[in-house]
Amino acid sequence: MTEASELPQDLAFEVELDAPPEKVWRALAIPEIRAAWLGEPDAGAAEAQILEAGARLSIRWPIDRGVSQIVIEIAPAGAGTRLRVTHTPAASAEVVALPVRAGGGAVMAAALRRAA
Amino acid sequence: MTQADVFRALADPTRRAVYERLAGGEMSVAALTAGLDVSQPAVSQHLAALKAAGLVDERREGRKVFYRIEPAGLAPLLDWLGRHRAFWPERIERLRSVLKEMDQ
Repeated sequence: MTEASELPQDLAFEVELDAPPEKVWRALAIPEIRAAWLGEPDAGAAEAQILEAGARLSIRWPIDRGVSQIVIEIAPAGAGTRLRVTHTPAASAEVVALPVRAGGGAVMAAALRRAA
Repeated sequence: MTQADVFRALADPTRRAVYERLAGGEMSVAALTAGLDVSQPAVSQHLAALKAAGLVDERREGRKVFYRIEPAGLAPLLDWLGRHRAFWPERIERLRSVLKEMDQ
C-alpha cells in the first residue's frame, strides 16, 4: 500500500452561519453554550483550548479507542460567519484495535457496493 | 492500516465478492474459486490484497492455506462512517438553533 495519502484522513467542511462572528465565538468558547450543541463525548470529557481568541479553537474529543481532534475556525462572511471544522480521527493503529460486531462486514460491504 | 488502504481494497468488485464469500467462515483458495468466475491465481492475488489491507487473515494447515475475515479490519471504515453519517450534520443543526436562542 503505497498511496495512503490518496484519500483524506481528516474530515473537513465549511458552513455559513446566519450570526455574526462575535456571537458564534461565544457559542464555541463558552463551555456551557458549547455543550448545548456539541454535547459531550461518550468516553470521557472534551477538552477545549483556545488557539486564537475570537477565531480558532481546538477540542480533544475522547472516543472509546483514542482521542480525536477537532479544530474549529471562524471568519466573517458578509453579515454572518463562515465556520470551518477539521476533525482528525484517532491514530489508525488505535482504530484498528476496535472489535467489530458480527455482521458488520456484510453491512459494510453492501454499503460500499452501493457507493461504488 | 489506513482508511485509504481499506477503501481501496474493497473498491474492486471481485475482491469484494471474495470478501463476502468469507462471511460464512474460513475457506481455502480452491473452495473460494469454485463459486467465482475468476482463476485461482487471480483469487490468490485478491486474497493477498485483502490480507495486506488487514481485512482477511490466513491459517496454514500442512500445505493448505485457509482464509478468514479479520473482524477488526473494517474498524477504519466504521470509524469513517460514524464520523460522517451523523456526528456533524446533527451538531451543526443544533448550533444553528442555539445561535437563534441566543438572540433573545
